[in-house]
Amino acid sequence: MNDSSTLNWLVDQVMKALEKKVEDRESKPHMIAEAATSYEMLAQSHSGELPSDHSIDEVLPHNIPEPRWAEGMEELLASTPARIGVWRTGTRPLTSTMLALRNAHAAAIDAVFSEVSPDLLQEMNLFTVETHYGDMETFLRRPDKGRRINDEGVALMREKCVHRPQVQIVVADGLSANAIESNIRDVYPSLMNALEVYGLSCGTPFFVRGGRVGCMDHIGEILHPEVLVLLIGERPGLVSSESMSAYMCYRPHAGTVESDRTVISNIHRGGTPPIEAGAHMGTVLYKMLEQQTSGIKLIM
Amino acid sequence: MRPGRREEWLTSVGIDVGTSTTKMIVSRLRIARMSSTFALPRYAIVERLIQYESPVITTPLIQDQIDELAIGEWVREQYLVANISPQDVMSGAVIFTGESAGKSNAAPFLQQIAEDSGAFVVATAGSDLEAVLAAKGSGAEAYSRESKDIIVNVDIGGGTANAAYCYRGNVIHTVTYHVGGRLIRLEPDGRVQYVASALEPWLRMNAFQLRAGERCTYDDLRAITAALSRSLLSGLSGAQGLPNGGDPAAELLRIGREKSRHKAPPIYTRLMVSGGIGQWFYAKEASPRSLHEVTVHGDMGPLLASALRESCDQMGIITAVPSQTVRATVLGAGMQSTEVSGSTVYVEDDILPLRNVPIIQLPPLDRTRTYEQWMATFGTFFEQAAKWYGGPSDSIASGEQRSQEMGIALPALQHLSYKAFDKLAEQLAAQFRTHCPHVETLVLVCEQDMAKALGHRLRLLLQGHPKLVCIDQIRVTHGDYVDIGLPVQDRAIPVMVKTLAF
Repeated sequence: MNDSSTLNWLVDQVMKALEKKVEDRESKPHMIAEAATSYEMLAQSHSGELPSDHSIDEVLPHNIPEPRWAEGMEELLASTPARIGVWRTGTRPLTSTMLALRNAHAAAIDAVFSEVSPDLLQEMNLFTVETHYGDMETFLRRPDKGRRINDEGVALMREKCVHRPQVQIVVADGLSANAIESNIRDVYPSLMNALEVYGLSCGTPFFVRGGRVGCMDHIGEILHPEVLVLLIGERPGLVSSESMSAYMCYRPHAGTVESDRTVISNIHRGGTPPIEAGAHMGTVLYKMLEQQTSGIKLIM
Repeated sequence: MRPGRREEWLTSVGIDVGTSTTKMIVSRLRIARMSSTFALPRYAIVERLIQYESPVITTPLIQDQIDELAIGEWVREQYLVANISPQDVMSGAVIFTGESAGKSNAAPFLQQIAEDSGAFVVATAGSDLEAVLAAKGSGAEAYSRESKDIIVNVDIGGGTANAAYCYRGNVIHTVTYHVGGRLIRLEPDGRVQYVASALEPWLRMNAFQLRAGERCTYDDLRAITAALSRSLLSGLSGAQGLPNGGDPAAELLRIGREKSRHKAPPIYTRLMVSGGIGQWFYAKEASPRSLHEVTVHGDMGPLLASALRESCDQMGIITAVPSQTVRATVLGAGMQSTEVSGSTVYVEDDILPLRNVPIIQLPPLDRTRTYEQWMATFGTFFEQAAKWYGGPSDSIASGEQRSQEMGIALPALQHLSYKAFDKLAEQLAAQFRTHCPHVETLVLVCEQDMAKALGHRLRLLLQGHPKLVCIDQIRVTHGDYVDIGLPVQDRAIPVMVKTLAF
């Protein structure tokens, strides 16, 4: 992670220098604000537990010097997380826009190569199993390796887990450990509340390192849960590197087809709200058990 | 279409009993899923079709009282013609507009019609809500969505003028005046039959001599209607930009002036006129030139409409044409009074539908205080709420009056971590238990998408007492009343917010 913090530091310095220049000229003060906010937004570590001043919920200011209709511009900005109203210099975007974009791209790449911290796993009381992924390069090139738990992992599951549970919860890093870091503390307890309200019993949850969506099937073969929910990091994008999905399946097994999985995606603080997503998962799992099916056959 | 999946339509009824006319519509609202299959479900009303429109009839009166039997009978007939039964009706509103609401027998009768008309038809006589519904029915609200200006829709019927100011598809202000066609009724020869008592202080202030039984001339009536139009327009613009700072007499006509001080209305750039007067207002060729032409309906309506049009021209007010005039309110009531809640909600069994749940609003969480400081205000809030709802302390005094249902609106909270969310739920549960143990049903209306999670957490904390309903993505404010209907297809919950405060 050394490289990325150096990069962040460099970007920070460049931005500061730019801001200073702009400040000196005393023009377009909102540009500074935009650059600073988006930078902070991207670079901020997962801040405290309480609502913070800078969050993705907030609408970013635009760079347009004299919008024909300022309030209409605000409405447009509020309607999308996309980078609109960024203005230009000549035929190109402003330097601040370019840097913010490249920073987001770097954050996306970092998210793929990041790891879920052992502290978090301990806090959530999750033990770890690994797939056959080997190393990061292999993991990215060979998706099939991430679909099977290795032999030690299988033995560990057999030893530690409740067999044939009603609901099995599994957490996996997938393509973004950031996603797990940012969302699991919010989604997991909300899902547990929902299971309690629906009177569903839950097996022993654990974490899969180097996991792909298909690892659900292998776990299904070993633990035989009635329903399984996999909370997994999504491929990061330029809006968020913290987006998580929940894949849910009724009796997953070798050869489960993709259309038998139900998914809630885009779970992050600027997308599907994590706490409400956890609660809704409870309802989905309950309906799966009731209808004994999942995926496109499930009637919600 | 998936097997076992029915079409999701709900039938809605609007009935509008006005000072001069009564009308009814039956409409069908289609509810559809708006979100992708990978997101949390979100439903919305996507289509509104008129299934039946009744003729516009003259409101039956017996000596200035509404003839309830005649209206009841008429509504039953219309249900037969429309081929619906009260059991089919899932939403809608019965509205007593204008002066009819002030008639002594209106309230119980209104409830009766609402109950006879279907499980979820709402009775209302609040002029703020009528103004909102008329603005929706006339197309003013839709017009404002396409524009960057404020448009005011004023629905003028026989007894009142309900004005709603629309901006970017939302109603931002309402005000109602005693201005209507039937406030003065007269015969073709000029003999005055009736002058509404609400108009008398205004007549006195303007030194107009007009009494029932006496005669008046065309010119007298012209002067009165012109002055009345100027008062109305002056009131609507809050006297801004008018010579001499506007008309002080306008305030005498404003409904609710005893209760609240005049809040300056927003500055509008366009005026739309609906209601019975609206029909005459846009018919440019129809300017009555004699008492005979004025009194086609036995009142001053046609002359008021043309006087209003002339006043607009003189003051340079730009007008817009409504899509509906005389039927605006009934269309709004029948087609636009219902919203649907966010679909991830929490509702305990067998408590819906709920009617007339009074809403109190938690103080907003703003930058002046921290989250902890905000939650620390809950104690005082619930203490206050308990008094409002008739708490244990005054249970003897209020007796039967005490409300079994309590509605709390939660403000927008931005992003919440689970820990912060959990503290909120614990605080709500603890304060509720301390101050409001007598409340049977607790309705929580959240602005942001968190109803299901909050419902689950509170259910675990409160263990089944009170019964809980948590809905979200509905905007309510302090003093509103909400009606919550049965879920349509187990998913979308129709909600009607009866706004009483602006």
